[in-house]
Amino acid sequence: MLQKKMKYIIVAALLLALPLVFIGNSYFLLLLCTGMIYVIAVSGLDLLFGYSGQISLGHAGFFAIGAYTSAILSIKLGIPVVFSMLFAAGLATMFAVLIALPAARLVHHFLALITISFGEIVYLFVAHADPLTNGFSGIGFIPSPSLGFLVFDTNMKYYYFLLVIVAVLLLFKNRIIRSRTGRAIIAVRENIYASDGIGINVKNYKILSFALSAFYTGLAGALYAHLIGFISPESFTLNQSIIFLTMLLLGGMGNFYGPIIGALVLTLGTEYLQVLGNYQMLVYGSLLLLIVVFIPSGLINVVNLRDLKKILHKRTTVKENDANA
Amino acid sequence: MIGSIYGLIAMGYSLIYSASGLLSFTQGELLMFGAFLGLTFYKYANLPFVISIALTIAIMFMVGVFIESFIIRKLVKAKANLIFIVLATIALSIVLKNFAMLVWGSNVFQFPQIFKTGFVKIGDVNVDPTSIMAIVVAFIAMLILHFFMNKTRFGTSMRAAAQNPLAAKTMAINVSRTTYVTWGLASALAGIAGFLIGPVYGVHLEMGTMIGLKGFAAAVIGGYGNMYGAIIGSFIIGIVETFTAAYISSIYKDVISFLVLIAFLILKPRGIFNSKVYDEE
Amino acid sequence: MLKIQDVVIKFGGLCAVNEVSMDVEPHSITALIGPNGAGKTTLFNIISGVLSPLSGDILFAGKSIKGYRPYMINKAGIARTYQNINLFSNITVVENVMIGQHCRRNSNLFQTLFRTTSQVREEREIREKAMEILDFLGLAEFSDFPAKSLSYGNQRKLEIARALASTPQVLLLDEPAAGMNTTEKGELMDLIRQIQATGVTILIVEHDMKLVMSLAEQVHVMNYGRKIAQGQPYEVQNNKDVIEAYLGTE
Repeated sequence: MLQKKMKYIIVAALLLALPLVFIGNSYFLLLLCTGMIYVIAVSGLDLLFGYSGQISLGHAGFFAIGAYTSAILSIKLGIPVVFSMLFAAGLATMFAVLIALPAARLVHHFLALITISFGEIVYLFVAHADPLTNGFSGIGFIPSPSLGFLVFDTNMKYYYFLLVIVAVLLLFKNRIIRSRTGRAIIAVRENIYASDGIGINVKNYKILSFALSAFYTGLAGALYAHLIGFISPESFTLNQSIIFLTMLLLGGMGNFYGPIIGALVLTLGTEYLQVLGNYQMLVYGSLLLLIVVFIPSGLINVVNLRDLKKILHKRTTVKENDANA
Repeated sequence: MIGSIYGLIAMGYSLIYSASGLLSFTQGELLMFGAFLGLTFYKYANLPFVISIALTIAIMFMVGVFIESFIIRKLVKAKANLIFIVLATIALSIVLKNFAMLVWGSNVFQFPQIFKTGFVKIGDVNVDPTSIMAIVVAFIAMLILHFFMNKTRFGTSMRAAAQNPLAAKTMAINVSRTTYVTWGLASALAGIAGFLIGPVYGVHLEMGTMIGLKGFAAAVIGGYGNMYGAIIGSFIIGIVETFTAAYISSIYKDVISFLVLIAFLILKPRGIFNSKVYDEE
Repeated sequence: MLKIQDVVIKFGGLCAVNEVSMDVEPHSITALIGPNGAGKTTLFNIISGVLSPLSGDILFAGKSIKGYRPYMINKAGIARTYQNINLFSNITVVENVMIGQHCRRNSNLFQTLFRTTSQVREEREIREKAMEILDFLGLAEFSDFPAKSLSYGNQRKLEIARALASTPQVLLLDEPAAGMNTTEKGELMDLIRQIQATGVTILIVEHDMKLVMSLAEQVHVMNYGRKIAQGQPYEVQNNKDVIEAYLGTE
């Protein structure tokens, strides 16, 4: 037990000290912040796809709702950023419930289709509802969040702001997973028929998963808007939904660490891909294809497999349990 | 006219589904690929029209077979969760699009005029002859396909393999071959569609994506897996879109199409013809 | 305990269950037998809420449960196992049984997020109870294995464990002995008797005649959707109609 606590303290210390290393390099800090935002967004997708087994190719839609709502509320209505972000996440959640009502009945390709449609409709709205969203010109001068005297207007400050939020959200995710609610969601993923028979209201839990998922991704969107200070429809296309999915699959889904790894690896990786400019999506697409065909369970399980070969007598389950439960 | 294009695509989707119980999101990008291929042959290699189209069809067919043999087959053998197969096709469509970008660049290309005459007057509407050709070719393709699937021996064995692969195998039907032929055909259909649309709207990278999605929608509306439903569904979408564009605004035509799709998914996921589809749990 | 009244269900033109009536006495072991396709599992599906009868009624402890959804029926006190194994394969054995308790517990999302004392306590209780049940069934050593890694016989036992976790008053067992060897069947019989001893009413569909005859107190026989006989095991065994149904007429 003490060893585990020590690990947490070390990790926490590292995370707190990290930005000091890059004190001059604002760009790298920005990268870290973006990475953390993606961690939140992808953890959200994980709750839906990894844990309840419902595919979504429209999560960019929730991301967009979060971003635009928070931006508009804080600019046009002067609502304090922290509240506008929460409200935006809440709105994304409401839309999720709306879309989940029909979507809960659908599977696989049809679910994919309805989520794609959702994402596309959000994109089209955001791109064309000019009086409200400024259309393709985007919304700029999005204010930074503030808490009392603290204004998080530099990348370094935003980093710490995000660190707290990510920690809380991940803590919540972990608690949900290991609870009665989480188990019910997982049961729905594993076997709908049996879940129904064992007292789980499948439809409600499917909708709940959608709602939770959208809250995370919506909040991530809002955090994104206030970090960058400028948003435009281009960031919220189907490509973005695919990027989320690729990150999730790369890291491993239905797993606490998977989204973290996937999001961070790909965010940092993208930096080096900047040189490729427009070919980024080619890399994402090929990566997704390779992952799906060769390592569908993601990196986290690839690593586990190797550990396993070293430790001959340990059962796979113990490792999987550690990572999954 | 756009309806007939969607029709070709939708039929491709239905084909694949009825043949293998799988869904493929690649049709849109295959259309784009076909258009580019056609462009290359017709414009740059200056080959005669018929040869261009023939070559395009042939190559697209090969592409379809390739996809099936290497990627799909591997996943099916590994008994991958259906959703991963869907994801694979989505990933494929992205790869295709970006690969095309690598080869041809991201500009809009003009397809040279096929017909030397200008617009043709039908009644008092000016119609572009290439549109007419598109409709005609699409129609012919559908007829040929219908004939092939129903009257020829191979076509029938394809349908048999789709309904019950195990039984088909015992009847000495080479299921493996019918499967890759199906994918090849679907791909070729997309290629034709691309070739037809090229002259009318120009050729560029994004041309396939929307059409692919709408074609998918059409297939769903008509009843997934049902070829005739696919055709009807596409005409419905084509008409809805054209009307919306004409009377409301062309921006909303996409939104409306998606809304129609969502409506169908909610109310009648089996489509108009109530096809047997694993839509619900 | 369970009263099935003139239940009818049709699939297309075929009458899969045709005015079947049955009484299941509390605390009894009642068997439902019949040739393949007789409609036994269909009847189970109707009782557990998966299917809705065209006409007729199902009374549980006097109250009609017709039209209830499966999860509601589980909450009301009826649990079942399945002909084809329907476990939550990718999670651990103990988690399967923990999920089984779902309808008897009530920690909600809010309590979970903020780790209230009641939620923490309930989690502990859920796990303890799950281990107890696994112990009762002899599966405790596998508690942290993924459910799919269990042997076939053990998987069937796990299904029973999960069903028991929902503290049912009635346990529906659909061919629990299928695919088991003699030793396992013997264990199963003991297990069923032990379960009965805890006060649970058991309704079992089975093909293994020896098992049925030695376990059941009442046997009901179905054929082609109709009930053709009922009575104590030896009565049914010697019933002319029953013999005909299984063997066909000379």
